[in-house]
Amino acid sequence: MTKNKNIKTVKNENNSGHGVKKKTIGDIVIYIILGLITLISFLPFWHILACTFASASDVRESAFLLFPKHFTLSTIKYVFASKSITQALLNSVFITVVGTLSSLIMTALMAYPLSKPHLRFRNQIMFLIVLTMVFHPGMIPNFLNVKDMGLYNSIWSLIIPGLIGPYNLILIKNYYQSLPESLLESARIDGADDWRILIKMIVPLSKPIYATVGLFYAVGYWNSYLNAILFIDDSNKWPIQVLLRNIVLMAQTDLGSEAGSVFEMAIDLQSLRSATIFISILPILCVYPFVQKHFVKGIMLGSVKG
Amino acid sequence: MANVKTKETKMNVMRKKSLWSELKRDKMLYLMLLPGVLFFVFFKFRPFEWFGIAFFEYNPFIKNPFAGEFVGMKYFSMLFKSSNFWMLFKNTLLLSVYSIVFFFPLPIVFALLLNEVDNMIYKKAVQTITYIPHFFSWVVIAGISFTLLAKDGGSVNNLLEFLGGTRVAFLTSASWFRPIVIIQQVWKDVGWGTIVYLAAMTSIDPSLYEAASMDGAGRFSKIFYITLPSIAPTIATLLILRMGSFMDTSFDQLFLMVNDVNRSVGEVFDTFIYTQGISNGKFSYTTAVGIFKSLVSMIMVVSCNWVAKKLGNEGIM
Repeated sequence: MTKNKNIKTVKNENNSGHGVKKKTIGDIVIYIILGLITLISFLPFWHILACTFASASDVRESAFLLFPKHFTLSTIKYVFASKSITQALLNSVFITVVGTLSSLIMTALMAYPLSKPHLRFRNQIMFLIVLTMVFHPGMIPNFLNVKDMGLYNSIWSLIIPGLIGPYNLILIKNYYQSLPESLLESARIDGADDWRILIKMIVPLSKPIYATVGLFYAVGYWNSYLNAILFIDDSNKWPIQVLLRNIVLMAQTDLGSEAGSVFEMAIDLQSLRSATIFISILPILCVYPFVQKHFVKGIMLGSVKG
Repeated sequence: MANVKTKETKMNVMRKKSLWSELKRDKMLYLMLLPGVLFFVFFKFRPFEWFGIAFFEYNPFIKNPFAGEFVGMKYFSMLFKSSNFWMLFKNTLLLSVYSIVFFFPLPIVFALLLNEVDNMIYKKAVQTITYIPHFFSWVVIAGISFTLLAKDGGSVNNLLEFLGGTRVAFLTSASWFRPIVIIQQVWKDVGWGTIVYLAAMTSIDPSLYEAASMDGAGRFSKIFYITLPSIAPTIATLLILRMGSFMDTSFDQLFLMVNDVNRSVGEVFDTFIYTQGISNGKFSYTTAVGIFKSLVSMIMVVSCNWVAKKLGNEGIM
């Protein structure tokens, strides 16, 4: 977005120009508004957490459960005892780990030649890549293509069709271009070929953008459910999101919940639903703090035009 | 004339030679490019071949999309004559318009507020927490929404009743569909949306604020005369690009929220293609719908990008 190459990260930048001064009423109002926004972002998640670890009676009795009276692990244990859920978690871990690694390698590799302005046909290739961002074949042609490639009902159908994201490719390519050219030039004079330069110099320098793009890929693989619904028929190969969807949709319609018995079931379902939601976002929450410091910088540097 | 021609052919020969030597010199780079290019060919371009079944009757037993009986524009005219067409178009358009009107300005306001915060720890904490929902899947967001909004046992309805109101069937009501969808988008992405604006704000020259302060400008004048004009190009670019992608309603989200009760307002092109194509097997018809959607999308994005560039902003291309 910006052409300034020495972008500082947002965190250590204070450009509002107020300097050190007393807090005015306006400041306090802003702090309170921001606090409220943060609370709204946080409360639904906390509610899910509370429902996961609260006893069934707590969930049933409180209007908006935030602090359970009776702490219990029974819902979580129940979820982990379920064979289909553990299988789905394993599938998701496999898809995410293998998918993210292959995507990163493929994207980092393809971005390198494209970062060389002198490369013949580079502009034509870039044009075609941007074209895939604005002109999509659509769901049915993609579905038939995957089927035609023999990937239907294979867990690889959840990895291979999304190996390289054009946006991520451009982010990495732009990041490579922002690296000092003189450094690479000196390596070339020392007789290093392109493979050596890529592996020994570019890769170690590009850790922030790899962390950013890696997070995007990982979140994408972990969160995707649509491909599984389209391409996977065998429920043993479902990722956790598809299972969560089924649990969520079970209680979605209020249509049938007129009867009292269904009401009872909906409450139990509420704990189950919360626990599954909790498990499915836990890995993201674990990785997020470590990657978080990178992505603002990564996005800003990656979006430098070149 | 002949002279010119020989000159041209001479130059062509030279260019050919240099092209060959360039390819030879960069053979390592092309080797690196190969896996990616193969990926794009097989998974980004090869699906276009199946556009064929919009014009040739689809046959599940024949792998060739052009082998079926030629039907011409039959499926396109079927789409345009169908009563569904205007419903789909209206629902898609309205969801996008609502999203632009009610969602789009919020990250800007949020970023302006964040920019006013001097306490870096507080600012960082707000950013860290409000970015998180962006990384939740739509299934999780839908799950949280159902937990909060269910008619029986849903927390929002519990609170409504507690405050003396009556329970509302949020999830099975056509009139609540659009507000809920927009609220979900806001909850998920309002924090994440600030990144671009905050990035644009970091490149504002601090001396502008100092000078303004010395002239006695207050907080609001600084926001209106310095901050907003500085991020205006970013706002314009993002707005134009958002308008360009108006056909791309978030399918992942809507697919979870649409049910038989709210289908009249919730059905958009994408969900229609899924239910008619994947569920009901009308591959030829839904491919035609998809082609129509892709074409309109592309025209919109390209022309909005063109407008963005004409106005002196950076586009995406």
